Amino acid sequence: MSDRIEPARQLRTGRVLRVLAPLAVGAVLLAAWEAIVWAKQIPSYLLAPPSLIAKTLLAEWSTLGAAWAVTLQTMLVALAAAVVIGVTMAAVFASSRALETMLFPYAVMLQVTPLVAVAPFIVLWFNDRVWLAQVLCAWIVAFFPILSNTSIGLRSADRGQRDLFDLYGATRWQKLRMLLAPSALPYFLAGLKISANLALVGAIVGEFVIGPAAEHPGLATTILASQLRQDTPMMFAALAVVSLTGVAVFFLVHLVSWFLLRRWHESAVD
Amino acid sequence: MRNAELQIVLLNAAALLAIGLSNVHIAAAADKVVLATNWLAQPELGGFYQALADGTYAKHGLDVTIKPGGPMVNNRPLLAFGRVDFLVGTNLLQAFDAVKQRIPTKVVAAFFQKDPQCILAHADGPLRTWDDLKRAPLIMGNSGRQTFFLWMNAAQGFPKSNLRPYNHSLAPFLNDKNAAIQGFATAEPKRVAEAIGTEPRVFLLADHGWDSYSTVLETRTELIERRPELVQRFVDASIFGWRNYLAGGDGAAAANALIRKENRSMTDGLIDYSRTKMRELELLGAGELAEMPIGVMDVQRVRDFYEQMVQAGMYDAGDVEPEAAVTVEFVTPAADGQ
Repeated sequence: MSDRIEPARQLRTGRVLRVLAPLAVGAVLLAAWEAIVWAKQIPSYLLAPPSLIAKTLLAEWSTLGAAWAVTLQTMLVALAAAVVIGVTMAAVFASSRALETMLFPYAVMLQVTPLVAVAPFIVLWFNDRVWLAQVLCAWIVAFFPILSNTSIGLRSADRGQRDLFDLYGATRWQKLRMLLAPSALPYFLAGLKISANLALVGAIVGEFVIGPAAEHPGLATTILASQLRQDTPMMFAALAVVSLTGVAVFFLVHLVSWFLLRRWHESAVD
Repeated sequence: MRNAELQIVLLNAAALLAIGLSNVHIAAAADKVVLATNWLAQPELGGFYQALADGTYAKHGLDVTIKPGGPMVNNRPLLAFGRVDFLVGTNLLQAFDAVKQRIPTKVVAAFFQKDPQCILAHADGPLRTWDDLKRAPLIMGNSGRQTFFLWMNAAQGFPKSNLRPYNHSLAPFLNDKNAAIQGFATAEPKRVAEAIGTEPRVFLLADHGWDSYSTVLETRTELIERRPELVQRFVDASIFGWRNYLAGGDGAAAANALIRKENRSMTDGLIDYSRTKMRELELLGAGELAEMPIGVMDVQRVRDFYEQMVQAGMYDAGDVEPEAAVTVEFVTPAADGQ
């Protein structure tokens, strides 16, 4: 009897541990940070303790929250564009070797171009539509992992199954829908996990190098302004918002990925 | 032999040895000092480069290194951390912020009596007056937006919606006759003229009520308390440097060579223009060079400027005691006439 209960219990403890372990690590690190700041009497303008950062986060939420909403919006629009364009291009590449050979080098060029160098020009080309230029910056860094991963995914369908589809005279659409898409899905999701947070970084770096939208500045401006005004606790509070967003987005994508793959893919089976 | 005498004898011996070995003078005993600035090497920091290049710092027993700032470089934390000993600040706001954040630094001298910060408009464009500027697209970078623009917005009615990004390129301005752009009155007009042939209209913030000192010298309170004589020597030598730099002629050649070496985008034309403008706009003071009270601060003016910023909504009335941001003990008008 105990033989049948054990695996279920193990599963549950496993899940609880997965949530508790990182929280415990976080608690230990934050406590150590706090203790060092107090013990060494480090002034808050050099290193703000976590308690002061949390206090600032709450006290300044009206500023931070507004900036966060702006950055989040830039990030989500860029990520959506990266998914749509990345997947479409991967599908095009999968359907034609010639097109892939022709275009892939340019996708690589886009990926390695330093954002910092081109951003000021992007905003000029966009005729001062600052927000759009920021979205483009975030898109540039977010799009490549999706394209690259989905391309490989579309190519990695089982050879035997491919032959079977051909043998039965499946249409291109049927082949894509029922064979290629499912086999590419895990690859795409792995790419999405990378791209989601790259879009966040891109949205922030884009704002750093382009400059903020006039009336609705995002988190990069909060960081720059607090540096300029020497408000170290505020800068750390803004960085905390960035970090927490990154972790939340990561787990969200992870959850989506698990939900889609849980029934059939090795990576999601407990 | 007492300890002090022994030290002197040893020092003399060391100095003689140094002279004997090479042509190095007593610099071996000089205090190492690092000055961080707020921008790349440029004539607007010329006095400091002058004092370094012509040996004035060395004569004052200082072995000075200048650490330039620049776009995306923020030297300010280095002062609080103790990595540099002096810092050139752009205006008084950051000195007020330091007091607000309990960062133990103070302004010890103010080199520009008037802030050269200005707004430029095209000579053949539609923007003719300060009030016209309030309706125009205004190209401005982040640091401007977080400092003097807050005053322009609150006290002068410049709307935020007119702001356009600025990335240290004049191109978006040159391209648009209706646009206005931030600049230094000592530099950007010349750059615009070199690009399109005509000098732009220049609107100095200082002419419209912005009363901050600029190019202020800051240091740590700890250094002021522990080594006031070192601070005094550095301030004195820097004042000499500025006086000699403004006098110009061959005396400034070494400083200009150093500036050009450190900042490749500087040309003789730009340097001459800046030096002329600094005199013309009376940035370091009015009148004859010999009597010019270089570096002097007036505490009442600091208080008044703070009051202005409170009215512009940048601080709450009780946030900061403005007097705590500065100390006038190192530059007095009387002591300066030497």
